[in-house]
Amino acid sequence: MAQETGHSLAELRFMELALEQARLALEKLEVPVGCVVVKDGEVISSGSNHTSATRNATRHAEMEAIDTLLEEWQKIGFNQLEVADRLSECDLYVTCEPCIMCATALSILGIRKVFYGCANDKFGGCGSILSLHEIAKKLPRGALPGKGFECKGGVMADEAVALFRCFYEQGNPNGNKLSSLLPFVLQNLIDQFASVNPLDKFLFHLIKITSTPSIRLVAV
Amino acid sequence: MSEAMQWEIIRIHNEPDSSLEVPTVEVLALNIEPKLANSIVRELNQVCPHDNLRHVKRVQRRTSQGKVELSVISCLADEHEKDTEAVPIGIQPFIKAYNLFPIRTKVLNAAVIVDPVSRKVIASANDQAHPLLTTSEPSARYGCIDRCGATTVPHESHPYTAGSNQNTTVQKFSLCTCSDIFAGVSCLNPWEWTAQELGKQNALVKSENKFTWHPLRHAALVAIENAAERDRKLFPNSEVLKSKSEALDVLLHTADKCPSKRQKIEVSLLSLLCAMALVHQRIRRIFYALPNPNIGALGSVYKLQAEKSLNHHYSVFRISVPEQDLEELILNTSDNTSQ
Repeated sequence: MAQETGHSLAELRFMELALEQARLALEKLEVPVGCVVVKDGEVISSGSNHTSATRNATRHAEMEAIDTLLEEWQKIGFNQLEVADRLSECDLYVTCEPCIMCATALSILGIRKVFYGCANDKFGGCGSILSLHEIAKKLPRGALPGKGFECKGGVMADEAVALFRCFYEQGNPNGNKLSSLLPFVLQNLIDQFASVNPLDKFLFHLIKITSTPSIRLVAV
Repeated sequence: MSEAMQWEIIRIHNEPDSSLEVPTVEVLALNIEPKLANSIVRELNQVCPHDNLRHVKRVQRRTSQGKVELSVISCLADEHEKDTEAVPIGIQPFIKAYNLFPIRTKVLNAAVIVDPVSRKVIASANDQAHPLLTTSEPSARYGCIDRCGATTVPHESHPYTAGSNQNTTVQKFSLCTCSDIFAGVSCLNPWEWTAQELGKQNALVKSENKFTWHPLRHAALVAIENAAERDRKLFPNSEVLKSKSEALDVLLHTADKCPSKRQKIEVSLLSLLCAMALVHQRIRRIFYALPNPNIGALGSVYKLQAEKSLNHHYSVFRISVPEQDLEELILNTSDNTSQ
């Protein structure tokens, strides 16, 4: 399988651990994103999305894992340079592409490499919307020592997407329930009508694409 | 006409840039004698033409204690040089001839989250990336509000309800809260956290704080955290999540009652880190005073509010704060703190 997907066994193993974190989040009705921080082949920190319980929309999995790590290292007594040195040897495995905020944070911290599952079409900061892993190219010439990080996406993306689907099927407590469920309702309709009449299938696809609520209602 | 420059709010539009945008840059300014203004500007135009900054007024006027003061932009600050005295060779003889001193403006960073309906301050914070700053406000929970409460709000005000009636007051309030920390603004160079004063941190361990320093605890993020904590305290019931549908109702209800869409006042320059955090937290409006030429996310380098894919868009305003007001606030606060 490793050869087929182009991902090493270690990558798959660590991503599986990140997915476990995401599942924990799902159980707590949080958006199912999880991550692990790996140094020298060992998981040294993990985190999952924690935005609902904290009511703080910035408490993404990456931020949680980083905070755990920083707290631990500060207790040991590491100073900034020692922490930075260690971070530069750390890789992050996260089930969904880091958002713009988290990608900036990872750049600030100087993480070595980021492996992510599915892309993040709305907020992605590692290529989808902005490319903060390549931030050095964007910054004004010589202005800052800003550095990017290596990035590899698509590691077990299907599993990550499946978790999102579970979450939206059960309803995002913070999101608009109707709008988040409509695509799934329509997909079910498409599936049902597909066996009956190909024209209906085409029409429902059209409705889904136009995504105008009034048209949807008429059609449904 | 001798009035000082007024406070002014400039809307930063959220259309994507259609043409090349001139990024905001740091310049070296010179305070000059009003009498010499004409000759200095004429000479400067020859020695160091203002080609790239034609849209900017070269001479700035302000009044201080009845005296008119003029400053003139000499040239772009060399981005590689942090030293203030690093003046391009071409201008050096000119500066010597007139006995002038180049100045770079200090920048400060603090954030205040305000409920626009009740005009109450929800939370405020300043940068906590540096160990030095973490000590000046040990927990920075509502410390800033407490400190400034004496001057801007009645004594009986509870930290939660501390606020002000006029936008201007809120702006000044937020400037006031941040003025004790000129040391590095996290947003301006977020990568600089490793270069902090290493010796100080061990003495600063505070039991109530998880971190003695944290590279990501920029003012805006700490303010969001404080606001979220306040929400949890004031509306604890919405945490009872018995079933998924109930959870949805409760949370939506709470969202109506407590202001989840907030107005935010930001003194200084938002980095992408903070700007995106504010998108996530559904902040309604952002006011900032100083642009961030390095990694500014609201028009200086990136323009986050113009990213159509994001699920929330705030309006962005730049507050043009007269330098004089900034300086006064800094002076006042440093007087208070030294007592």
